[in-house]
Amino acid sequence: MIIKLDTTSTIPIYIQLRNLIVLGIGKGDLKIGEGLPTVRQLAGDVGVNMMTVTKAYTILKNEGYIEIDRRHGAKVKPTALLTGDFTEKLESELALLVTESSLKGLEKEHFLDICSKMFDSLNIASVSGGEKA
Amino acid sequence: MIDIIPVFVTLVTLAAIILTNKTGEKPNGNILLGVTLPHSELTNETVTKIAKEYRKAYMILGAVFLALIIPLLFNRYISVELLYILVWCITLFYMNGQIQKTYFQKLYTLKKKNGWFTGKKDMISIDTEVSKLKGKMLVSKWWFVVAFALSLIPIIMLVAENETNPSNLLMSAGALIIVAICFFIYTVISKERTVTYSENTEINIALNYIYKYQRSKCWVIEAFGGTVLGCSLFTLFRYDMLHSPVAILLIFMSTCFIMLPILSSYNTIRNERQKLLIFDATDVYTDNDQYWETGTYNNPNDKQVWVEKRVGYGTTINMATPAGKITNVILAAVIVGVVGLSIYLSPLDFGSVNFFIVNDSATITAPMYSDDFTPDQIEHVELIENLPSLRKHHGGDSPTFYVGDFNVMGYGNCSVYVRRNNTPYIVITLDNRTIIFNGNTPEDTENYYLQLSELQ
Repeated sequence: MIIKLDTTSTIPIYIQLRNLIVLGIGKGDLKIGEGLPTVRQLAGDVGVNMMTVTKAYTILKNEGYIEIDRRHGAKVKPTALLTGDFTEKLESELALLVTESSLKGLEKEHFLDICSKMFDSLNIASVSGGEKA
Repeated sequence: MIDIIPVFVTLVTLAAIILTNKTGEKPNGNILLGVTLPHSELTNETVTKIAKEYRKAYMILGAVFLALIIPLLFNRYISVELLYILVWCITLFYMNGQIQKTYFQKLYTLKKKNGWFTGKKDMISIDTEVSKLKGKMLVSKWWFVVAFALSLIPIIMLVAENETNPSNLLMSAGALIIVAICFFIYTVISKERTVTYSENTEINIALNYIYKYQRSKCWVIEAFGGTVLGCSLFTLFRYDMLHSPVAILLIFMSTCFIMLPILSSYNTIRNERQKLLIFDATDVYTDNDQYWETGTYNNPNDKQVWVEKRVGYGTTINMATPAGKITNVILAAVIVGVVGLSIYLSPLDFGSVNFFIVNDSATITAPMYSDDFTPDQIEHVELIENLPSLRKHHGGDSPTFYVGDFNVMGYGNCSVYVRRNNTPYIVITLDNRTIIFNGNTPEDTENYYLQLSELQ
């Protein structure tokens, strides 16, 4: 998978990393069970402190997208466990998006259509050796 | 005999500057003269015209600085020579920077005018597959253990002989220092950021592998070559053969040998890059041209210290990092150091040897040295026409003077204060040592000899 980070963005690098890895899993660029670079390797290539990468990996682990093994490093392993925290986050972010779309004059059907297409474009289930997430 | 070393050093420096920068006129991936261009524009007529002008500028630079080496052939003063080489180097590097900047600006302006967009600014692209394989792309570092072991041979030899002379010990450490430098460069290469050339991971893996493997192999070879060179130089120095034609030939051949792996590795890297990228339609570009405008890499948004040079061979320092600032300080220190050394050595070119007797004590003042003794210490004084061959223990030897402690054939260890090629010479045998000296002119020497004869 190719990760593209914007060094001048106001979004911190660790958030960018976290988002890109989640999107990568969704698109199928990162296969389930696939190992991620070690903290040292990634920090060296991004040119940031190891703490920045550790932070991104810790968030991904806490959110249940990867697992961290002491011997094998970080591995993609999304868990289908829907937590209350996630539902809360989804609702608050969607509320803003729905309101903004509505104010911009976007029809409900159109909005749902976009969501549906995005869902369909996900490639998680077709990942080799993967499991339905 | 002409001192070949300064001429040789300047020639090698000039050749290195011209040869490495000449590579800029040919595309390195999609980079020409340090500017990122779309593949399709690399053969544009105006672009190739600028590249030709750049080539011409380097030919003129080469010819001018080659002519400026000629005065070194006729110089016989070490201090002047040092200052001349320093000024020559500073001017060469300055002019080199100016050429780089000028032609970079010309092409960069053309690129902006034509809107040749090649990618987003300040983007870092990382291929996770390449990142994971990063450490496995290098030639094994264990080769350095062998090189380190070999480089220890001269030191072990000296320690076994109970040698204490600092200059001999320093000379014996030469090979070890070379291996240490090579290992440092190897470590820098191992930490260097991987590059994402394409959306195609296979191409990224192949190009990063070629880059890391070739460069690490190059410095392993350099470590072995350096060990052989260091050990040979030490042997020549130890047996006082450093000035023989064989030694000069050896140094010349070793320098060529040292340059070969570097040139070969970069040619392989560039050729493979061209071959693999030419048919790839999914190039990933980051347009960081603006940070190369000064002729050096100066990107405050990039924390990376070492980056691959856009023009020429090797890596360069990101001048916006603290390490870059330290580099400037070191450079300034080197310049001050060379000027200081030149001033320190100037008595060896322009000093004089004087002898005088005050209150029953005889004193000899020479460049960087002075010596005194009392008349009752004198056992014998003689005047000799030819200076026997001698070997320096410590002190100074320039085309004008020999001063310090020398081993003189037929006399053993002596204190020598001699203006060279200025016969005759006075040999004073004291109760505890021997002094050989002369005056600034043959008349002065005769005069000093008479004064000493009266003291006996």
